[in-house]
Amino acid sequence: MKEVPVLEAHDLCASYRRRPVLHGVDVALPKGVLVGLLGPNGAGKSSFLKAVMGELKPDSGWVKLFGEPVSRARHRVAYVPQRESVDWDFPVTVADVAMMGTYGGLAWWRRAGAQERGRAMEALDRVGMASFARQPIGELSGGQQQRVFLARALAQDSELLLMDEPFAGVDAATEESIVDVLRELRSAGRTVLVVHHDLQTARRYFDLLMILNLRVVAFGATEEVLTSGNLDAAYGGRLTLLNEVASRSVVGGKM
Amino acid sequence: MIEWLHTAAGTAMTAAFLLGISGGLTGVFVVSRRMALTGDMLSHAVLPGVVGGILWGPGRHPLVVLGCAVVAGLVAAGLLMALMRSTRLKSDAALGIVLSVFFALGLAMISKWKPGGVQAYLFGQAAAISSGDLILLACSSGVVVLGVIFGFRVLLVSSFDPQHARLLGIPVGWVDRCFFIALSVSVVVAMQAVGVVLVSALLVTPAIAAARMSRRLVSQAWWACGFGVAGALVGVWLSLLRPGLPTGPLMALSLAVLFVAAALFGPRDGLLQRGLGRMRQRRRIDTENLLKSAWVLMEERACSELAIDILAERVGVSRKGIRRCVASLVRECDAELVESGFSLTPSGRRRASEIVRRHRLWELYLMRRADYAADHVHDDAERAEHWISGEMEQGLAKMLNHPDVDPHGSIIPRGVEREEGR
Repeated sequence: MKEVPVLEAHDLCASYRRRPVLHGVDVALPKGVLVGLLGPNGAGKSSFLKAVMGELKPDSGWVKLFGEPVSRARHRVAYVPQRESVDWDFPVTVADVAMMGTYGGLAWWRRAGAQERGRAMEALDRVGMASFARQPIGELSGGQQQRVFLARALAQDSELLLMDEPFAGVDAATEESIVDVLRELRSAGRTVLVVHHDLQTARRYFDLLMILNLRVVAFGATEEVLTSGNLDAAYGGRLTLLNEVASRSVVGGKM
Repeated sequence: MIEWLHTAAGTAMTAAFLLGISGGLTGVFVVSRRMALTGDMLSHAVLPGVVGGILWGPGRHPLVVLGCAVVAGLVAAGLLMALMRSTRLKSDAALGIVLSVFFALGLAMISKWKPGGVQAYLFGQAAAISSGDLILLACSSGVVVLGVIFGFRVLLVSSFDPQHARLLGIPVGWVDRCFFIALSVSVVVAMQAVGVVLVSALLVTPAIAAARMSRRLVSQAWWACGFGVAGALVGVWLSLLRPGLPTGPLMALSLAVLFVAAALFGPRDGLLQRGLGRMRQRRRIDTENLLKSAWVLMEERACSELAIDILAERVGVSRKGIRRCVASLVRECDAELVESGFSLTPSGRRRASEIVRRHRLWELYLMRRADYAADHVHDDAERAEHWISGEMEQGLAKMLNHPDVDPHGSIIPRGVEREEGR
């Protein structure tokens, strides 16, 4: 029997504020791989992650997680948000954020116990942030902030991890240490999908690449995908005709 | 005890206590979710509901009034959402419209039908709180406290990162709705005591005072309860001192005083602490400047003792100022008083040469690496010399290849480590 893909999108179209952001996206991710998601600004990378989490309702097409609809399987997904989308003034400490990863299996009225705390601290230890546990998140550097959210995802222990530009504003040493953790996850059979910008490092970090620009420009093994033709197609501007037709169908469909 | 509850003072005190708790607890979430304006909008938007409730049931049944008010609040919230989604208005503008429309509707209803007892809701009247109101207040506060205690985790995650909360399987939409209903109830019961406009004081002030005391939501919640209860009780107590003093405004003012105290003396970035820090910094810079000038003068004159007058003339500071500065240097064992003036001790000389070294290294750096003209680097270095750490100094020296002479031909004193290393 064929293995069920961890993440599968079929003919996925979605729009945000009457602008198309995804058009006809077809993709299937297997288990235990590191996948890089590349594309120019505004190409729909974050929107794709949102659609996978069920935050953005598709106009047509569908997304399945582990062979099930998103609404029934999204508790098996962890997410590391973009740095700008987090309220860094929110009054929580590093340990509080890591603890939030453990709340999934806990009934809502129950208090978190020693087991949850242990898991959170272990996750912080894996990303080298255990000694910062009592610090407010607003006082951390960019790299430290990113590692705290990675720890939250580790504590969650999910089968699919989505990361939105985890390396933006992060120093090289932190980037390496994050990638090391991602490789550990891969050997544990987890799938990681990372929105990424740097083509140079993408070659080293990822097994599979997905280049997105409204539609999937290319998807496959890293070496095969990183050809000049594909990059031109992705970064050489949006396909005007596709964009226009997609725009009209979105606006028209919602009149 | 029961009898005391039935006196005017007892009722007002009990109401203040309960209001402080529920206002403080909901307020912490209101502030950390950046919903302070929403709270204000709610207090105005529930007015048509309040008036409707009074008109509907004869004898102003508190539960009917509360129910109608909450419904009005929910309708306003629904309208707000719809408005923001369909017109892309920013939330502050949308809040402004909804607030004014609902409040206007309420006022129109009041002038048309003139319901009795609505004054209490408009301007707040703690004395008008009946025992029925008090029971309702106790119940609603109890629900808020229990909800926050048992739902704290869920509320925390949904407030901090709703996307993550949804992945955990938390029904964020329902959590938000429950929170909004609890907030509406808190607002309506608080209105009776302090009036429409001052509800924000009970919600926001304890929470922002608490934010000065701690950087964790859990302990902020405790602090906010404490501040809320203290402020409300003091307000009631003050209003009882003289006849004719209003309860609501006094509550708001007492809470504001508590906030000022927390802002001044709170451990988190207190103004007093910051002021002291700045003063200490200014004194350090003054001392460093004096040390440097003394060192340079001694270098020029090849002497080891300096008269206060000469230094005062050079620096352009009064003799008194110099004397005070020298006295503090003596206290720190960096200088010694001698007959003709003062001299620097070895530690003082080392400290001074460090500053001169940093000044001259920085000048050289600006010229070589940042393309500054030689006559432009001095002023910049005057500022920078106080902020260059030992580590940065070593980096600078290494980058500039351990220079001996600065752009003006003066000798750059050797760093401490290098001197000792030889």
